Amino acid sequence: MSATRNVSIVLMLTLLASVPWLFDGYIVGVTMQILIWGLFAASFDVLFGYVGLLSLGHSVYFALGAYGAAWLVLGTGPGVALPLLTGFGLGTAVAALIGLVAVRTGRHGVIILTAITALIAYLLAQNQSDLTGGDDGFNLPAMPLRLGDWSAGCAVPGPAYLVVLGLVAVGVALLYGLVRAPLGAAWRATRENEAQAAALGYHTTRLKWLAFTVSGAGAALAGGLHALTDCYVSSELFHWLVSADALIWTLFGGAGTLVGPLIGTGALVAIREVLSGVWANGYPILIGVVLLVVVRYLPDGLVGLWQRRPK
Amino acid sequence: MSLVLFQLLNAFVWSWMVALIALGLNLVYGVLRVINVAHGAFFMLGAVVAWAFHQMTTPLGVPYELGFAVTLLLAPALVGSFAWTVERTALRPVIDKPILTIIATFGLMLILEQTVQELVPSVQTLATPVSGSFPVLGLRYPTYRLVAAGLALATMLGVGVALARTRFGLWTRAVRQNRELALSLGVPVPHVYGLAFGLGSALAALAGVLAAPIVTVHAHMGLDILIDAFTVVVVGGLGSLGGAVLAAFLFRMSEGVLSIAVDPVLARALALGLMGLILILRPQGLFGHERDA
Repeated sequence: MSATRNVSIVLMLTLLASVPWLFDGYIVGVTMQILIWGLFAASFDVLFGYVGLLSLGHSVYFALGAYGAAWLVLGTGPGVALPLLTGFGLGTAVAALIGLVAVRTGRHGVIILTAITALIAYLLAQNQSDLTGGDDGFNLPAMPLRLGDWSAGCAVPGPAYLVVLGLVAVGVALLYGLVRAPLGAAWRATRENEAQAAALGYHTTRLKWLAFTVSGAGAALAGGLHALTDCYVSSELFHWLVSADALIWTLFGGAGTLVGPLIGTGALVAIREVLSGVWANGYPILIGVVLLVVVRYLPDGLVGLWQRRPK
Repeated sequence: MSLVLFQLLNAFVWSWMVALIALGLNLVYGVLRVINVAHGAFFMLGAVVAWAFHQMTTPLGVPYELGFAVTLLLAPALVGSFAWTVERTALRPVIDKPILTIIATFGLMLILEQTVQELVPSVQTLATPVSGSFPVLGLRYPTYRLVAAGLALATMLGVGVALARTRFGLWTRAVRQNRELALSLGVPVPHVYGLAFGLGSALAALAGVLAAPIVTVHAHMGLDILIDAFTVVVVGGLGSLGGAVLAAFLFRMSEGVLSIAVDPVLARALALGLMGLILILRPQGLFGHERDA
């Protein structure tokens, strides 16, 4: 089983790494978007699927990751590592701070409290347009990357694709390592019955805070990658509907699996791209129908089709 | 000074609207334990029905005021029966899984909002059915807004009395306290579910009709109000009707008062912050039970 899994992971990574040589720039761009949003959804799943806390505030950490990177690029010129680190640090720090209070409220409280953080952040981002560019946003230069005559641009990712693939793979692998570790078991225990987990000696508030911070950190990394590859940031990124996207992708793929959110994001972003040429306004209606179908017939998501996940 | 008073009156009127919407949300939660994300969409549907009815009847020579009065009953009836159907078909099978019901109602919200977006072009406005203004401390305030607030209040009182006095109200309280016990004592629980969901959604639609002449009518008008209503329901304490009204006033009036001193965006952010602070201090909300935290 483990061997099969390792082989399939290597195969998948090889396939993804060869996308720029097999397909045109458009497909490469869409695949890269899927990877970035997939990382966002997988990070969201750490908190939602493994700990059972629904956060509508993940758009804030994503947006801070994006703006942290953008501010550094706008201030000191194009870069890759430093802007990403800045965004990652900023988003993670704010997630850790907000997490301190958010995890102390109840199951419903955390939804509202995180939604409130997203609402406030969105309002402030729109208001402080000197800092954020408001609705118009900021345009950014492309990543200064070059492999021979293959260079990164805003319309076509070029070598930026490989950077994204590498970082997303490392990010997801780290998240996977955490949820497979004893920590992951403690998270699931907290999700299933917090009182019992506490009685067993787990510091459940600390466990929830850790999940919140890790989850926010993943979102911040995804945000930084988004800003640098999309070459554009705007206050829209703070909106709670961005967090709701992560929820939709996660549920469609299968919550509490990490791989499910990646698959869910891939499927739905691909559908959105296909529909955008035909009937762009139909996408939300389709998503609505998909959600109703998932709830009724696929409560474990796409992953649940071939795997009964351990409850 | 008059501007300040005007804003406070607006905040006061809007508090009653939010409270009316929150009442429906709370009724649904209290009885079905379902967090109805589509509640804002039902509010929007109420306003759209009012607008559409106006578009259809005006060419027939129906007086606007009469048409509006009709929609006050028609929109809740239509939306309520639609919601009743939705509860039976989409929600009933997953009623015991809270997360799944959130997702199902979210899907419903997307479908409703986008369908209306396709059918109702851009942003529409509706004339006020009660014209004229009312002198308040040397200021002229639109009479309709006070009428709307009064109707919202009257509806809430009516629903409150009905829930306290009727057999249906007794059933809802029984289901709220212990569903299995209620079922074993012969309370038709599935029936109560459908009626509570229909009634709660009808209240949202009524609020939509009342709000239509005050705000603009468009497909996504329920989105912001949904968050407001949710916030006051959770801050007031899930299931507590009085708590939601109190929270609605705390939220809206603090925003109104703050906007005197600071920029309106900051005032809204601070009012939201106040709601968050209450939740941090009392996770179960102002009048909520620990089990709903």
